[in-house]
Amino acid sequence: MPDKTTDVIQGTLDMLVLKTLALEPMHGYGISVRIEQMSKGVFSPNAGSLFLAIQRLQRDGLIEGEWKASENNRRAKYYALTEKGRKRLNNETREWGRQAAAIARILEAS
Amino acid sequence: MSLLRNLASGIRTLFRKEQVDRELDEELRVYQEMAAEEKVKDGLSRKEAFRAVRLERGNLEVTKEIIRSGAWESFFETCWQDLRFAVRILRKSPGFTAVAVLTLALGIGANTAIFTLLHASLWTPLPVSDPKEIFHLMRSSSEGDFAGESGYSYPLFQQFSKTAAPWGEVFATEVVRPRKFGFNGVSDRRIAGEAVSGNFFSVLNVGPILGRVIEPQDDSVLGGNHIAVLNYAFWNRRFQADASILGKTILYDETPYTVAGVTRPGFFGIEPGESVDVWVPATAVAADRGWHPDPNINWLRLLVRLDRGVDPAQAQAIFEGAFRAHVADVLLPSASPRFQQMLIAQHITVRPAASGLATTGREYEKPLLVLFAVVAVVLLISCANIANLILARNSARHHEITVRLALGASRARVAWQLFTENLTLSLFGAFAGVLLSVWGTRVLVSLLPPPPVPTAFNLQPDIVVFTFTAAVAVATAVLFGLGPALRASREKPEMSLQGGRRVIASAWSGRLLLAGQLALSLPLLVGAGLFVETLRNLKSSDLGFHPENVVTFDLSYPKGTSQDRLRQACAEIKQRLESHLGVIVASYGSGVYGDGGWDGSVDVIGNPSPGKDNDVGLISAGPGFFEAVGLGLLQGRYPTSEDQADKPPVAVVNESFARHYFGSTSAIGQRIKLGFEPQITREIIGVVRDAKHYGVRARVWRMVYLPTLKDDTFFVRSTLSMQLLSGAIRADVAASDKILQIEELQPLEAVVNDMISQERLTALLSSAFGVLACLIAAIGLYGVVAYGVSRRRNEFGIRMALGAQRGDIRTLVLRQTLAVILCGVAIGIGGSLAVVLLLSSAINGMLFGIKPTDISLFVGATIFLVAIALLAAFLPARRASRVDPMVALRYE
Repeated sequence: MPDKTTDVIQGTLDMLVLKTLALEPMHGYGISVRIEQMSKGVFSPNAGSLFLAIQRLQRDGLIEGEWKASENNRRAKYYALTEKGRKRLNNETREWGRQAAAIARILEAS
Repeated sequence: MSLLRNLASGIRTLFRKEQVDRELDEELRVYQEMAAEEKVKDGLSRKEAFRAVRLERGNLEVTKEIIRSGAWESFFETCWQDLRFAVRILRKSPGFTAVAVLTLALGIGANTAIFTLLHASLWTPLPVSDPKEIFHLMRSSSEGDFAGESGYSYPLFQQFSKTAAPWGEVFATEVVRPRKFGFNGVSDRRIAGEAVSGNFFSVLNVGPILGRVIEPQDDSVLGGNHIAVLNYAFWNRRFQADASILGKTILYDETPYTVAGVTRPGFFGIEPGESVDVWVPATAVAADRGWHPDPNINWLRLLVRLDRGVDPAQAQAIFEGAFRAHVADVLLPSASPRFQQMLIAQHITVRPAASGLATTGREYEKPLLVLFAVVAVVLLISCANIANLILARNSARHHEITVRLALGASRARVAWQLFTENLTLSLFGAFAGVLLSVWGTRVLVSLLPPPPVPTAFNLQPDIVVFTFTAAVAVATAVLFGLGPALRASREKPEMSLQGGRRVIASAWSGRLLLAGQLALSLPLLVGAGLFVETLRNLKSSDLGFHPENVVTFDLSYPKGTSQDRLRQACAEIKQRLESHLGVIVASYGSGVYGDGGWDGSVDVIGNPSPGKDNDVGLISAGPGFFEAVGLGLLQGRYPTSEDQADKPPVAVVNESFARHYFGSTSAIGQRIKLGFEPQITREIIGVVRDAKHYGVRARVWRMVYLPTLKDDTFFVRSTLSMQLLSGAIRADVAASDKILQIEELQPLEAVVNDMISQERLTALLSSAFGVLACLIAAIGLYGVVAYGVSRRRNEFGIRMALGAQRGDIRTLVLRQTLAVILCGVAIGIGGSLAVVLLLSSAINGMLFGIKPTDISLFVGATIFLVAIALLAAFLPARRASRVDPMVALRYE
């Protein structure tokens, strides 16, 4: 367990979920574990915010859910990126890179 | 696209709630189990693993709640839940609910009723195409406008039509009056008839359902095309929608007209509240009466439909120009000096008439608007009252609210739920209010005097009325419910869960509301006082004649009945009536109050310096007229039946006439000539008191009374009851001449009272609402003080145990309440003064014999309010003083 977890920056959880699903379809717990792994334990979204984000993305048609058997034969709902979701992820990644670079430049300037 | 999907998904959730819930449950359970399995792998026991997951990832139930409330459709669910909960809670305290709903129903009902009437009489657009383009051409002067009255001659109508032709179309209608109507030789009751110009229907774009309507070419027929168009409703009512009526002849005003068609359903004319039964061409009516070419006979009302984009102000300027030209070229040369002055002062005003002429509505617009304001204030007071009740109730529900907060309900959630309760109350109140208002509007209309043509306002509440009421209900709920709900949600759970009774933190908001209620009641009381006093002054003001114990009726007879026959009938009716025991005197004349009589110029023979203004009011008086109406003689004698025979003509004048022309010398024996009979010289034989023939508010005119031996209006002074006397009158008139019919048989006092019906309406309703407001405020005061006393029983018990006397306790409670009362009254006095001064110009015209700032009225209203408030506070104070210290202390 990491010593300190941080709340995900407002509005970026959706993007992180999309990124997670870009590799392969995944169920809710898998998404949460992968975000934790990829952020090296900095982000550990709780179930409430995670499923809220999933519900939001699903309603916007960016991801789709389907009940399937999991790796250890348990029924779970797997989410996959739609074409629209993939486009959105690309856009957001580009936009995020631009903004992060800008913010970094401001913070580094002294 | 995504919005649509979102919407669809939301709706799916709403309708397949259970399945969606089950899926979410399962998904979360899987999530939890997967997380727990990881922990088990790390070596934790199963139980410990689940606990760890709950701590790290959040409670499952809370998570579910978060996810559910994240979607928009959950809002409706919450509302529905709250609503059911609110109804359950309200049913648990039926007393509180009943009082609150009843108070709201009264307040909202009164508002809805007055709104309905204003809406029906003034604000409903005419049922014609593009009503916004229709304007009324009002001929007005500084003396007051002629709104709705006949202000134009036929030649002036033609002039205006020509003037407006490039950018609009002028059309004309006669004032709607009851007209004699006959069919198949049977003469029925009178019907509402209106003569209209040929383009009336085409301009309004109203077509026939049967036959044809009056068309422009009907105007061009020499002597008038005698056709009639029936109202759809009248056709159904009177002819059972019989299509064979087309082409048949009816008698309109005793003249034969051919039925040409029936209008489409829903059209009633251009006067809301007056449903016209039969339309005839104005040219035909004018020809029958011989009025057509005379520019001095004003009998038409003019309206115009302006083409789209035409500025009404510009149109007004052009009409004004045409009017000035007409006055200068046609009217001025032959006008008397006084009439010339009047003409010069007149102007044309173009007024929007999308809702029609609204004569009735406009007449009562001011009182209705005043009452609207009054009932709005009453509703405000009710709101304050209910807010106070709720504040008290919420502090009793303190425990419930804090438990909910402690269990994790958010403050917003608690506040919203409490507000839903208040909104529910308000909606129940609105529902009851609408039911009340249906009855209330009928009562309101029945308070108006019966107009010549039966009113036909559409008083069914429609969508506009419902919207208004719903808006009022929501606004009301916000006013009385939002504050208490927010306040209650700010409770601190830690404090109160510790148990025990909490001392009420502060009753400040309650006291403020009380003071506000009292402050609002005072202006209502002052206003009511003003209107009641006005009515009293009007009623008690000296008319100059005595209408008590006098019954009046009109004779009607076919056109062309000979003068001799009428003279004989009048003499016979008089004689028959006077033969009854109890009848003191019966006579006839052209009228005594309101209309009746005419006016003209007078020439006093031997008057060396006649003033400019020699116009006088004229009334014809049969033998015994003055005795019958109780018009007192000052000098000389009353005329007798012999004065009409072969003797030289005589006249009676009033005080003002005598004083103006003869000063201190006697008027008796002086000679005058009247403008309308230049060849006759009359000798003045009597001077009577000044009487207000033209209304109690109108100034007294110089009057000349001319003896006559026949006239249409009878006056019977008797000691008999109305019922007995009307039976005798019917029998006597029928026995005298079969062709005579009786109309408008009523006490003369009713005629007088009808003239002040506006004032009576205002006085009655404003005082009723004023008292209601005080009552509501007093009940509120009583409730708050009583509640305070019940909470302080303990304290009073201790005080008494320590030696306080009963009187001390009473004084304590009263003193604390008195501060609130005085504070409210002080604000109220200031507020009333401000309102009265602000509105003085608007109110002044509605008052009579009293100034809006009348000091005694303010003092009276203040004393009344303080007395009621003290009484309301005294009852609980007395109860406080009767607290038994033993019982009170043991109670805790």
